[in-house]
Amino acid sequence: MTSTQQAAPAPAAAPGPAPRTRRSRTRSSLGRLVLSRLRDAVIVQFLVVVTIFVIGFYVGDPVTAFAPPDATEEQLAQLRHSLGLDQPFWVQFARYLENLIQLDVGTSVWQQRPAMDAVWEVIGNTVLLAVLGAIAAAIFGVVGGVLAGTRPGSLTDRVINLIAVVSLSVASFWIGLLLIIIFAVRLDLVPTSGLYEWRSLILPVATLGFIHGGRICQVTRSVVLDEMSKPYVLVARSRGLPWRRLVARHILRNVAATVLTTAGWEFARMFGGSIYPIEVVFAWPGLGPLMTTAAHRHDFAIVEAAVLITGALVILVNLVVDVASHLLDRRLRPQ
Amino acid sequence: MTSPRLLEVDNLTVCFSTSRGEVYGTDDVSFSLDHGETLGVVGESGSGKSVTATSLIGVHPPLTRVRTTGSAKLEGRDLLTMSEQELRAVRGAEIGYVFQDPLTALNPSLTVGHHLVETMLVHTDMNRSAARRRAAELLDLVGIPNSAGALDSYPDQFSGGMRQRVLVALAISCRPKLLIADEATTALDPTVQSQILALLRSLCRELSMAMIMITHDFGVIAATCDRVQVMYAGRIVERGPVADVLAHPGHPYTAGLLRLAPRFELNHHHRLHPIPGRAPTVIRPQPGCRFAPRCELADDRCEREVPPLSADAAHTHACWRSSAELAAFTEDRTAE
Amino acid sequence: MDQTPAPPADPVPARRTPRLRRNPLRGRLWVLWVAVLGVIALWAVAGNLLAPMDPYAQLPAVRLLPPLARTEAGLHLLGTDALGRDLFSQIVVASRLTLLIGTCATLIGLAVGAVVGICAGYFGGWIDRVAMRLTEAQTAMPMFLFAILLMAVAGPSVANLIALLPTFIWPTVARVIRAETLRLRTEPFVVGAIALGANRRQVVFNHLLPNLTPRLAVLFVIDVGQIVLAEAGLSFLGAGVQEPDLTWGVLIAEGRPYLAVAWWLTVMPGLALAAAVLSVSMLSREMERRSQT
Repeated sequence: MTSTQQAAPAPAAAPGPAPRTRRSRTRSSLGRLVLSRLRDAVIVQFLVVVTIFVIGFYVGDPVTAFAPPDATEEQLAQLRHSLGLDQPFWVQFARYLENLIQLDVGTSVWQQRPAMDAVWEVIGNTVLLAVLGAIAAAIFGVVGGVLAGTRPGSLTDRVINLIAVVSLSVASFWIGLLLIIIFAVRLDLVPTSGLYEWRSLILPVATLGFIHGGRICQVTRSVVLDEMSKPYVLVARSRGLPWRRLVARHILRNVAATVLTTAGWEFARMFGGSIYPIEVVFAWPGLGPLMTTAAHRHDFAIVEAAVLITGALVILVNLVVDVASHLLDRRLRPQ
Repeated sequence: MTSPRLLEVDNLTVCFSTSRGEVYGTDDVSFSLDHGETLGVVGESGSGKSVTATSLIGVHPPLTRVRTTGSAKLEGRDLLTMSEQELRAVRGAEIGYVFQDPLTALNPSLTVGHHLVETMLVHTDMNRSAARRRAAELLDLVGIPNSAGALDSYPDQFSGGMRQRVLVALAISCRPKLLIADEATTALDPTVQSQILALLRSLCRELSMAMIMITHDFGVIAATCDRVQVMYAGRIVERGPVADVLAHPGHPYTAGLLRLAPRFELNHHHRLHPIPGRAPTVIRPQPGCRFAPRCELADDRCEREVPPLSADAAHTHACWRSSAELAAFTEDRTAE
Repeated sequence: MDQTPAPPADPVPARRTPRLRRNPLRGRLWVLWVAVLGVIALWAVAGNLLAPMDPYAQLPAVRLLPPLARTEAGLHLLGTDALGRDLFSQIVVASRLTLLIGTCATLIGLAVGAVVGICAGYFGGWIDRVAMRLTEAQTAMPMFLFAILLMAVAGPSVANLIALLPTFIWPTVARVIRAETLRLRTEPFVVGAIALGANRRQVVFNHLLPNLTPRLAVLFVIDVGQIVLAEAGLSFLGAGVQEPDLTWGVLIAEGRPYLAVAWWLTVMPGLALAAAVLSVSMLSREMERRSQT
């Protein structure tokens, strides 16, 4: 396929019309991509919903959690009845789905308001932290990866490699605690925790950047190294292009799609997990502290809401990353 | 004193450091080139012909460690002692280089126009629109139809031959004094190959450019060059005017190469005479003539002493055997 | 011969590639990682005997002592915690549960992933499609949050944790094993076995599994580090191991309130964790490098 594609297309006679067919091909395959991702998204969310419901149905008994401790068995039963918890499985499941479609996962026992509201209130903080963290990770990863990849085998390369491996091997929250000890407790440069001023962003963003930059760095290094060995680099150098221009205009451009895709995945991975312990460590008013507190208080509605919303967020981010990398890299086009 | 020649290479030795020790790319190579002259360099792969050329512009493949000695003077300035910055100003501007494989020599994600414009912006003080106009002219010059449209096309929209034309346009974009064509037609179809050769030939005349044509094919040399030099295992073994060398090869290796070129003669069962043995893939210092192990005329002296190459004669070869001995041997072979 | 070093022909690739100066430690560093893992494994097996003190003995008089402090109980190598317990002994003892959970959960994840992967790769068809859709679906799931939810609902316990953690890794395992199975299926020795009338069980157990084992070993090494980190994260958030059970994650969480006064309580267990996971990932890189050459 590849070879015919390289040899065949419009020789000298008509370099003009080729781009048009190319674009239309791109659009249709893009549509397929989006559709298949959306289908996956529906499956994922449905699985999540079912699992949550089944576990809640058989294991959790929310009544015991918020009924007064001295409530009699009779009072509990009454409470269950009033909440519809004594209905058969399918009836409860249908009602659950019905509510879900209206974006209602129930009322938070702890906060005495719809659980979705509680989640919406803090999710902005989590997203802000994640975006800044992803930017920090991308900067660390790309700079490190390019430095290492353009100097394979050098001391710089080895040091950066080591840093990347370490960043992938340590617990994110532990790095956060370490940074607090060094920069907040010992050096007293930044506030320990919370969200009071912009400086309180520094440590959590740095932690996220370090933890997630490692993989971006490794990927960048390997694609840069790969790109450097391609003949066009040699040819570009034989034309007298300065090394910096060659890296910036040629190599970076060609690896951009791969690197951005990796960065996007890391961004999605933050919502999948690593950001919450960091939020807890820095007492950042986001989903992490909200959810852990809710879990401790057996307030499952909030945790459910958080899982569903972040699930949707992860899917959305993945979709955007896929589409972006698809558009970015001309060579990714399906033949 | 006359004005310096365009290129004067003296005792050029290129060493590669590898994990298995030092390996010679070229060993003590000297030659020169006048303005507007075309020189062919022939040899098998690994004979050092490409290494000679790439070390002139100081560009080696990544992950190689290279040590170069000797001198290579371009109009009196030594390319080998230049700083990277000075050398960068020479590359592309004074020496144009066309590589072998046109399919991979262009960045697939940049347009043809971008490649051309960028080269001119780096080397000249043209502004972007002037460079773009010039780029279109260059594409016309190398024979690409619809040059204005071609500027905005990506490399994979062109065939191999057209891409090689683009590479030629790139190499001559800043009007270099010297064009190095490094196996520039090897990867192409024979018909396309002859088109490109004709193009190179006419460009050299029109722009009064000198050219070094590196190839393993005597046919290419015959079609394009004034003079030819034959390389074997990092050394020049013979040099002279093309017609002369073709008619009267002075070195057994040249003679062997020429015997190998298939000829199409009617009613004549022509037998191919391969040169026995294999060209060394790794060149290390050793006494004597490098070709001796494969040479059917070699004797003790050939294995002990390096035959010299005379610097002055128009046609010269590095062999202890006389031309007469070789001619007799060749006659024998052809008569078989 | 005058062979002065040539001018650097080109600044970047040519000059800075010290292929020749080989690092004498290179290729031998894995001994260090094996040693680290060996010590930790020893702690895990015989922690009670190796711990210098009783990790649960509370000595209120010697609270929050810094590392290398001496009391009548002996030398507190890494200091003491808020209840006067010896931190080093705690770390030694905590390694057992940390490794136990990590190993068990990884093995379960590998088993599940291998079964799914072999089935998908060997049988193909709808089994393959369903299995692959499932793995794709799960990679899009916010697993960590989901884990917190499940642990909150089911109640945090070691058993629940071991049951839950494999879900973090099985999809990748399944995909790798599927690809490998697909490749092996076309190998002459498998095709030959089928042609000679081997039944499915024989093919899978006699031909596929032995050839998948090296791949599974590499996957184990890669995944065990991730599982240990996930366990630490969950435990740190209170959704994993609970006191009085000890893992390194629990110890870090315990030390957190004393960040300002006793840094060693958080730093030291984290260092143990980092050393273990780093050794494992270094070893996995080494294994990959060897399998390539």
